[in-house]
Amino acid sequence: MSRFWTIILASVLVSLAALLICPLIGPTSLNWANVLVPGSLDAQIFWLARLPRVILALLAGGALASAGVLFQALMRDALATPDTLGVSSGASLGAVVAICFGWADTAKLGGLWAASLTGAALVLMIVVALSSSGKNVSSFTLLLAGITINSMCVAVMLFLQSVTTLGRSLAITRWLMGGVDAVEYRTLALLGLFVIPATAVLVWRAQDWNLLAVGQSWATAKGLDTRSRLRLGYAAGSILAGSVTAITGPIGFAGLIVPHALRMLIGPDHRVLLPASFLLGGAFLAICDAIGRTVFAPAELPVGVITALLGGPFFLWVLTSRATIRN
Amino acid sequence: MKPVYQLKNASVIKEQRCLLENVDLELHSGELVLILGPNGAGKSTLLRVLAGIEALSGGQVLLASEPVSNIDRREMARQVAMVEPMIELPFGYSVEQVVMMGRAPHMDAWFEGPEDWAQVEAAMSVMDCATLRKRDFRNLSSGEMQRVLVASALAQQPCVLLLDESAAFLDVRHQLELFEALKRLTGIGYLIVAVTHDWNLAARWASRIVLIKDGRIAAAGTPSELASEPLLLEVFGVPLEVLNVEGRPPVVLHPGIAAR
Repeated sequence: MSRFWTIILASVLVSLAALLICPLIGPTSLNWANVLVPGSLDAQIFWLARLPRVILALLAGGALASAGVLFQALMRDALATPDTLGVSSGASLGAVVAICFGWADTAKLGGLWAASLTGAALVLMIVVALSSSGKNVSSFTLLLAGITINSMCVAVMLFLQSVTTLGRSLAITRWLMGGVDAVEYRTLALLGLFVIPATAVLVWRAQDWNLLAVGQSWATAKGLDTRSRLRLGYAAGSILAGSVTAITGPIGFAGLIVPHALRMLIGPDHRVLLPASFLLGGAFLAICDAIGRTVFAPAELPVGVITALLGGPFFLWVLTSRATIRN
Repeated sequence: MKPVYQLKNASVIKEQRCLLENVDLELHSGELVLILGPNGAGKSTLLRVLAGIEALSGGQVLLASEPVSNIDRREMARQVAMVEPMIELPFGYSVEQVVMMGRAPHMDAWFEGPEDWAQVEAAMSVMDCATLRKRDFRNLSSGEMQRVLVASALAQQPCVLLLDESAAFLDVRHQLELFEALKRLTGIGYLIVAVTHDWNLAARWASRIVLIKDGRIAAAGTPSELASEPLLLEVFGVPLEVLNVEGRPPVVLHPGIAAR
């Protein structure tokens, strides 16, 4: 138990450090002395631009990492994440449909969210149907299904983009780049209302994900009502992936690196893995974003570019190292 | 004495194939029942029916007079523990963590308590795997895995233990130790039902043997009652010679006998 609290405390400290330090980093570097002077330019940049952006990165990174951990347990595969399963693409397609039909125009965030969540849930239902049709669906089948769903979603998005008005087409392009732009605190609060309860439910049921990661008949034999628990997991996963994607656009590979690295460091017990992944996944995205707005300053790289450049090779590494173990 | 399990006319039909057909069987506490039969005879299906994992297509299965399908999953897991032949872990759970998962039906708190640890320790010492506790389960040998899986089942503190081919991967010493441990458990009132291919193992240990062929019970009784060459030929499809050993007769397959 003391090991549990040590790991959680360390993760909280890293997240806090990210929250306090990342807002100071950017094209204009800030320091705390100036930020705390009310009305100064530094204070304005800090409170209106940087801080909400960092909080968004913490929430989004945490949610995607938690969803990654959950999908990896339910699919029994270390490579399952919201994007490799196509769930993020589903959410993106939902959002693009919303933008295209004008449900997402000024201040009508609700339409965008509803469409995004629906898209995520629909794709997840397809994946679940595929993975429960046979007795043992291999991870390659799941990943191929994810790639296929991804391609289909992209095709529909491109189609919608080409038939809509120029203004909306630009909005779609901007949104698809994926990033954590400054948002209003109201939006952050709303996102928190989705992300934090969903994560809390996942952490609360952490033991069940351990049983399900071993296998469904194992979990049943150990007294778990697997059907209702799987449903709970899939609902929470859709909420996490869908609500984040609605605001940030697609951010690739955010749910892969942190869960995998943590599993190697602290083991696969979801009671520790889930909260630590939430905290450190957030810190990871905040740091990636801080790098993105500094390296080519004043130009900014969307955070999705950074995570994809880091996550892509990481994914390939995991894939090949696993293949050698099997042979 | 009231039976622990009663199967009445139990059938399982899947994809138009009859895996289990009109099985009638009573199992009592204190018995060590071994289920024998050729591949695909329905042995594992029968075990899964007893565990409540496989639903019946017809008939009834009662645990302490209660239909298994009416029993809450968690309550079921406190009474009946099932050991599958093999599990494949996607992540590196330690031996200790795998055994601790057996506490799931008893744990209400989020953290394991002293009682949980005590049961895990006891189960690991019965199955001789306490020295493996920190090892990654995936790196164990098949025999070690089997012992850990049985330990995890014992940690559930059940009164019924269902074993599917648990002895198949064990070396002679651990096989002997497993069955001595099982014998002790039946001595304190456990009902143990185990599936195996090995007549000699069954003859050596079973208080009752159930022979299954094509989803039906071909015969049931003590080892000496069932040790007849015509019966074994009918069930297994090869001539086996029953050796003249009092009470628990082993069989041999003579060299020169070819599969038909």
